[in-house]
Amino acid sequence: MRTFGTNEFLFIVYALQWTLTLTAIAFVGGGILGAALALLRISTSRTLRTLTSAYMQFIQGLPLLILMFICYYAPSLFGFELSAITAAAIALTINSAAFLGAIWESALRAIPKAQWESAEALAMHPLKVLRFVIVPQAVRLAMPSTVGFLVQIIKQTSIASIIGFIEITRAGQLVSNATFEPLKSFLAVAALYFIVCFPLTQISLWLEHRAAKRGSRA
Amino acid sequence: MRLKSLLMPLVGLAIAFGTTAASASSLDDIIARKKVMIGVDLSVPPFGVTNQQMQPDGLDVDVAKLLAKDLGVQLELVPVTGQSRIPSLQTGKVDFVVASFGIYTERALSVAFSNPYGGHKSVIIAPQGTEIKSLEDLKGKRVGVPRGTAHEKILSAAKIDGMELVRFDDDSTTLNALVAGQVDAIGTVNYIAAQLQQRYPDSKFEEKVTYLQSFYGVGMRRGDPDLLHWLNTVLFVHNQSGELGQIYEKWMKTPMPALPSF
Repeated sequence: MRTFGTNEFLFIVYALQWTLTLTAIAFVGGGILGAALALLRISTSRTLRTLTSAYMQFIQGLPLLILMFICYYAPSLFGFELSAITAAAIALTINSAAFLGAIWESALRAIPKAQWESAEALAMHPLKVLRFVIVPQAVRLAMPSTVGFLVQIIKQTSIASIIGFIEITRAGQLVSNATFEPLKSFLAVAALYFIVCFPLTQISLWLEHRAAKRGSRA
Repeated sequence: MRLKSLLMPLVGLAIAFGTTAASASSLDDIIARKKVMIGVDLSVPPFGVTNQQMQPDGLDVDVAKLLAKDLGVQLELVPVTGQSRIPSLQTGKVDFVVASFGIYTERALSVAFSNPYGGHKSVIIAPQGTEIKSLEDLKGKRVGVPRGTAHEKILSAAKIDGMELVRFDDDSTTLNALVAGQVDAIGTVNYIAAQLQQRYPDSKFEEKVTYLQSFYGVGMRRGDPDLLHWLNTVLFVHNQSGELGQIYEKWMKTPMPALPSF
């Protein structure tokens, strides 16, 4: 009779690397794509703005579970084989890009118009204005919610378990079914999520606090 | 016009790839690629589990190994879940599904089944004191079942007045709901019932009603009679030689029932 022991616990800990790998890919990929989306949203072309907005609304309205299924199974119908981790990484990237794009768009918009105008008055190229004037200020504003969203991504990777990818939630499920001790298995999973997420939420709070202090000084 | 002429080769490519993927399951293709992809579910003891060394193991895994050995190719185990068994076959993620895949009429519309390689009883388990002689006695009771299984289907189709069906993710959580008293009875396989007695010798649960004798086969894509014939041939041979029976007894701890065939 199997019981929940060291081996079982280590199996879950080992699976943590896949949760973290997925999170890293989704955050970096989603960050690059999200930055592009945010910039398109503040572009001068109305068509670009509308199209980008429609795309972001569509992705935000699509449950991640469905997106994951589409990314895993749809390419196979056309003969392209995606492994579970590739499909999960693509789905999480698309999903995080739409949300990070929205967070960063609002940060960019929060910079007073006077900043744009005065930079232009110095005959700076619009790209330079973005690079040296707008983005540095927007990054500071967006930091707390970005770190907060990172915590969301970590927890969302658990959805990859439905396509059979073994990250820590699926590992917990496997251990639970081998030992018939779901409580211990899932408590171990929850504890690991907490250990990873708690420091991040603390950093997010600290950043928010710091931003608020700077704001009041300005 | 320009967009169309740009897109057409892409569509052609997609179709070409699509058809190679669809025909890739035939016996010759598997032998040529020296690898067979078999879907197993490692969260359904004793069919698929992770062993002490945390490696895939179980009745289904042993049968999958047997098939790969007969093909003389390398075995690639692809993890599937109960719900992803049929989509994984249809989209070519796997050649076979060996994952306690019960042979039922609805599923036969989507996938092709081999002859059975094992079978088990589905039973209602409840504490000894509970009076349950037939499914009708479940009236007014909370009954736990694992989601997406034959237990769920049959018990909800039975339309028992006032019975509340409670769905759980898998066998482990269903069983624990019974132990914790969250449900009055559960629908499960006889193997789980044996586990329950072993794990909780004091709690006095017993098998109440057998509502289904089911058989499970190897699932594959439809439309490939050659491959299906190969499957049935090797299963026949291993059934006759007693190998299937040994695997069954090793995991189920009971002798294998006689296996009827199509």
